[in-house]
Amino acid sequence: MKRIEHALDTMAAVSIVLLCILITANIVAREVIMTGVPDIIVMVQELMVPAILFPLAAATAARGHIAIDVIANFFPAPLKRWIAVFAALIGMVIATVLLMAGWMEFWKTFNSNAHYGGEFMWPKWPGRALFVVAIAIFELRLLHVLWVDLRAAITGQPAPETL
Amino acid sequence: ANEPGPNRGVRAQAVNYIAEQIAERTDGEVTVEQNWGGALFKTSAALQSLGLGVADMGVIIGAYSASEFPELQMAGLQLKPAHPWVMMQAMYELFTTNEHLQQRMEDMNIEYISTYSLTPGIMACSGDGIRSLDDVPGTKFAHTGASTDIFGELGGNLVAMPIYDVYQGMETGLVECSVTYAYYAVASKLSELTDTVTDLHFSSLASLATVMNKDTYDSLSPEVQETIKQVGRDAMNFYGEELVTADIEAMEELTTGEDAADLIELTDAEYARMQELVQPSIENWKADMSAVGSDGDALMAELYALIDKWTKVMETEGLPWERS
Amino acid sequence: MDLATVGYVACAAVIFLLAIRVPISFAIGGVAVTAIFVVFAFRTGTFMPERAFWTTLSLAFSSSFDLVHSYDLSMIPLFIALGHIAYKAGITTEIYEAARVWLSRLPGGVAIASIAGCGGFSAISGSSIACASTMGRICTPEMMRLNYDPRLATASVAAGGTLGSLIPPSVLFIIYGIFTESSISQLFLAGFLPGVISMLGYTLVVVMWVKRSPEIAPRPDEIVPFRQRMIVGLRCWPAVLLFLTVIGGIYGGFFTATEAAAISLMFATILGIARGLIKVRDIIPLLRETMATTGAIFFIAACAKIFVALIALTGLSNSLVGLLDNAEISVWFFILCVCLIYLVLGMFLDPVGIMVLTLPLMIPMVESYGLNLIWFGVVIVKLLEIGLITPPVGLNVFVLASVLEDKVEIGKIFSGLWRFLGIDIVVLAILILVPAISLYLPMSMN
Ligand code: NA
Ligand code: NA
Repeated sequence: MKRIEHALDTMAAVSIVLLCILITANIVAREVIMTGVPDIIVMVQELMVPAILFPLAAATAARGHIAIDVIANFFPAPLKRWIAVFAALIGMVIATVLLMAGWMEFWKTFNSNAHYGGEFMWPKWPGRALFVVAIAIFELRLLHVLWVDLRAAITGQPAPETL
Repeated sequence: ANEPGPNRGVRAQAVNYIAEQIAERTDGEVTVEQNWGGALFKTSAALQSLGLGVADMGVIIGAYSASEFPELQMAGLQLKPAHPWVMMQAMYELFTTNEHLQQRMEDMNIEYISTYSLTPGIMACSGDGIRSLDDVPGTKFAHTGASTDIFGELGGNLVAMPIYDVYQGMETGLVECSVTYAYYAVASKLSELTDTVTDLHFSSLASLATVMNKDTYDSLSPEVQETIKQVGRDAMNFYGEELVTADIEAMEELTTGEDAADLIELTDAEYARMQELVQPSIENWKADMSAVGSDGDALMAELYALIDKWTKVMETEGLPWERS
Repeated sequence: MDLATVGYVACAAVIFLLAIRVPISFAIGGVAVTAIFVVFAFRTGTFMPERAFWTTLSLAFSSSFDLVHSYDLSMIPLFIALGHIAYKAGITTEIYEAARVWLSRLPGGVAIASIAGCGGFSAISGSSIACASTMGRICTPEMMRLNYDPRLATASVAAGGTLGSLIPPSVLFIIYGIFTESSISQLFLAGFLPGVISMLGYTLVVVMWVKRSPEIAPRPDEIVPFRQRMIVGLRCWPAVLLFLTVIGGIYGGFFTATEAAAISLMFATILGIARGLIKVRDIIPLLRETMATTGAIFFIAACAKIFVALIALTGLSNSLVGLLDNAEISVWFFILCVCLIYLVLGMFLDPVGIMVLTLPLMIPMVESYGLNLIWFGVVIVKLLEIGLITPPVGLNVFVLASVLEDKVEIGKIFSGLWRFLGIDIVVLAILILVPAISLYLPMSMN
């Protein structure tokens, strides 16, 4: 799991490098050879998916989802532990919906001729596939968090800070 | 209902017209709640969202689902020039009578209600502008869609950008020219920056349509269905008049007055050259058509026949709002 | 239950979940998809879950995917990466050194410099989030190193980030201009002075806060000679060059504000490599750390988009704005109600979402009162900017917390912000009472 997340984070970093190079190359090309990089907008859009969503799993493992502590700080520890379980369950709701929705979209675009306009007429399915991969690993990690927090809540032991 | 654009401009008036007329003619039995600016979903998701019933009614734009619904995008290609009202009538008749298209829309679970056309595209430029095709090489064009592609072929420097960035791009000199529509140029204040307007002899695109979710449509009584259909037909006349009026006013605002832009005509040879350059896009479209099991040549021939038919109607009877 | 009620219940559920410490993205997204399912299932009057299933999935996907799959927003991860790379390339340390030797004798000097820096950054970026994230990565750690109170170190940047949309270029003014058919260049000019006034307001907050409690911004005793200060100042040339390159590039017509982010990142990376401070093989590991934080932030924004779809579906904003439509009220009471509506919506929703939901209904009313649309645009953008720093959903605050890798708690940042919110309300009142502040520049340029 850790290795998969590490690979996903690396791919996110590579996407950022590619974004930076593509956009810079586009600017330079239109000033120097008087023509921009073709389909730059589609390529940037597709790269945004791994750049933004691939790190989601690692962020979940590091408990990096932002929450507001102000009131919850006054709760007793056992209640806090059960709330953590509840929170992971709610996270599962949105993750599951997005995973199913992403899969539905991927399957539809993969089995059709759906493509963007422009020079290369890029197919629409790769962006959807990347979305599914990101959400699937995110959900797996969330399931892991749920399991760990549930065990902590039942045993009354504090859950580990990071996974 | 969902509309991708803001509640301003001629299309918004027509979208409002449809909603108001449906409520009025059904005595409030059917009302339309309008969402603007893609608050519910963006244009790119419109076709699927309407088919699934995320909204009951909404506007779809051919270019955003060119590969999924190429039949609609047909009217987004540079075909033979025709009056915007003629294009709407021809598309409407095609989409409501052709049996293969009926089946295709049934598969997508949508019901066709009304068509919108655009006035032919114009080239708005700041600075020297495009006075002949020889001016194209090296000129920077805002590249916001396929209609600009041929200027890349002609050696123009295409600057890809979202349409929102065009105004600032033109102000800073990042782009010199943009393919646009007269009333849009005026509405978006692009006219403030425009020094020349080149007539492109483009066609009126009519690849925009209001469609309904088919389940919702089928759940209505036959009388209400017929009322909605009639509103859709009337909407084209309403919109046609608004569009033509707005276009004439906008062209006047662009080309008269103190800061008037020069109106430029190219030569016939140049227009012929531009026609040649759009052919590859038509070939691509035909490939998309066969991919969804439709016959591009046949459908285009049918549309052309309908364009001729409605051009004749316009010539003999006049435009509906000009008939007394 | 009518649809608007579903919307109100959903908002209440989100507040409850946030209060008990459910992560923000989970709370907003989970409630949104559940409520959307309920709305679709009861659409025909009877409970039909089978019809709701696909519609819910489709709406959840299109809202979240479209947000991520965006050309415009590519500037945000690029600017966040810039914050990290600029730090490694030594650029931020030089700025910090200069600010320290020049400003540290001033009460809260570095905080004031951060606010001014936000103002400068606003001139190259149209996005408040990009502004808060980049400046947060650059300024806040330096202030904490100077032993500034974390509340001051974070709140000054979170508030300063809201200048991003008032000072041109500005995404919000462009969208407002499209919805109202008003001139975007006039809106840009109109936003400038209000942006400067907001900036002065924030500066005033820092000065007064530090005056009352000097311990929050300790002053070092050392007195740096003028010659030394000049040398440290001159050492800032890379930052100055970067800023001038980007400003010159945007206003000289070489690239768009969206593209500026990539150019800045490229510039900082090359500089870092040239100085030997960044090795090429370190770039990927460095960016890997950076990106770890952006995923969570974008996920909040994606879930917020699904929530916007829910609000559209339930007509909640229509019902809020509709309260005004039928009421025979005076123009001042109308403006007061407008402010309240936007502040309430701003607690939960993102600025663009609020605009597309409310402007179509709001603008005809504004016109019927005969109010100036350019001035009203400035008021709206100011209100939306305030929403970025109000609890429970304050995107600027979240972005800041995430680029600081949660070293400062969200609650702490909010607790530092109420002073800035106070001055925002004062500035807002001034902008409303004195339209000339907004209209002077657009009028005089015509
Ligand atoms: Na700005
Ligand atoms: Na808020």
